[in-house]
Amino acid sequence: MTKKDKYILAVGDSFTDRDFKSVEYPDYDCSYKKWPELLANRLQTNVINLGRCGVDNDYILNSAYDHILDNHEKIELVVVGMTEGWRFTVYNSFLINPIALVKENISIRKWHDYENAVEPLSKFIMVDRLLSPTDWARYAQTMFSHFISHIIRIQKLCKTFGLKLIVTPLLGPISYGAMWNIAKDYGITIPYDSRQLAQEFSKTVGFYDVDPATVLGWPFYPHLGGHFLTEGSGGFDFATMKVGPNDGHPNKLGHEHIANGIYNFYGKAYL
Amino acid sequence: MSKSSKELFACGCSFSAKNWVITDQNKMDGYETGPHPMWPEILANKLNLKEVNQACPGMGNDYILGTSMKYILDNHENIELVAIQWSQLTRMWIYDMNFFNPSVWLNEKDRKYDRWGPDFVGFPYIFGDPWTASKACMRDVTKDSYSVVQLFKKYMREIYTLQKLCDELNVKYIFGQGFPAHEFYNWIKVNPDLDWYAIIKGFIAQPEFDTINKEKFMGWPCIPELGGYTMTTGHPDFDPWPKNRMNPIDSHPNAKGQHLLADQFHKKYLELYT
Repeated sequence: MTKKDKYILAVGDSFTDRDFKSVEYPDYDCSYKKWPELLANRLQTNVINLGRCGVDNDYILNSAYDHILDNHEKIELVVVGMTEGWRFTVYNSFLINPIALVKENISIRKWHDYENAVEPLSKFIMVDRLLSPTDWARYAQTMFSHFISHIIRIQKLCKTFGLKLIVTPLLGPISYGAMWNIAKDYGITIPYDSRQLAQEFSKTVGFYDVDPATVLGWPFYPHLGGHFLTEGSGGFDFATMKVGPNDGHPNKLGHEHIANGIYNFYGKAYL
Repeated sequence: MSKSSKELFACGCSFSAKNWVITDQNKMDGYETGPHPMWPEILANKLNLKEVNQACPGMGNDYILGTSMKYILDNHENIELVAIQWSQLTRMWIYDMNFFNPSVWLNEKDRKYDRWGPDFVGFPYIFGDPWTASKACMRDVTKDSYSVVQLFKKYMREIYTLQKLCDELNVKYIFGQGFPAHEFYNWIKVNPDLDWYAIIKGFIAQPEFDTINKEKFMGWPCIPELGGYTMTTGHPDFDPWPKNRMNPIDSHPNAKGQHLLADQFHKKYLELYT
């Protein structure tokens, strides 16, 4: 099989989904090419994009594992756009974002019975634990550890099959800004600053087992010398690169920025 | 590498976990309580292998897949046999830390006993009232046969992923089912109109159904109506009830039952790999 016959496997959430539609701006034209298609154009290869709106890292990585195990001989490059660490998917069907269930001013409302079921859990996770003055670090570590274990697993799998890999969080494992906003909504003081959050990330079990050679922006948090492609630290301009003031998803320019970032990293890592 | 330095990797739930003991609520006078040697230890001894047992009580198939995948990727060159005991469909594992099975919180009559207690696994109570949360969750899961079939699809995907990983890495493997995968008798409390035969039809109609290697999954498809059995339910080693189980209210295999599970794996190993 020649390189021309091979393809990029892209996995991720709404930042990757080729059929993304803005909930906040339903009339917004989202038909522009997303970063996987743009990247494939630049690398002159094909792409299979398994991105799906609303999913968590378990879903994202499990879809990658399945696809890789069945098709590794046809894959040129695996690119994983990871998402928020607090999301979870129940039974591959119920997509739960606790932050959406504790914040009143965002568009994702409780559409399903199961969302009512997990509302107490969401408050427990996002407020009682991640904003607890005594317990936040332990709970943050849990989410960081889950996040990092997925990175290590996909690295091992790709290494086993000799596949090129790029992992990058398009949404961070825990966003300090998001936590600050929840604290504000609940009238409490966030018990840590962004430096302390980054320090906790660096203490996570498995942190030193990650191979930085295939992780774009590692170790992500600017206090640790890393960056996120979709934040200011990674050159993302919120004024021009997102869909709108109430929708932080990348617009056409935003997707070009992401594709460029991944392309440049690919050049350094593999060319 | 000598045979004895090679490993038996085992994973599963309480059917397989080292040092498992019966819960206080299920103890009965005159019956065993554990701990006793579990089948992975017995099997490893029979095969002269080093036992690596990462089974954990309460865990579901997402834990079993994730944990096994990580270990196999790291250690496949040292592994002689992967032996997996799969668990129930509705068990979930969140953030690699908390686990919960809403199927066990559906019976209101258990509320007055609160038989699990807040310390049972801790996690159900972070959903708020576990009965309320479980019913709300299971109302979505059991709203129709199609939704239940999605659970079976997830189950088959998890099995297939591990099967494929072992195949790709040339690792020997044998799978079996511990508790029955489904808990239909609990689900119909939420939706009495649920049609078991429509679910079975949907289950076998999924393309994933044919991807499971029947030769290496003992008792597949593990449902009596389809001619299958688990390692206990429907298996002559454990029939009639409660033969070789802990007691009449606890279906875990007892000490002898664990030897019988090891024998099932051993027999399959000899059949497939010698």
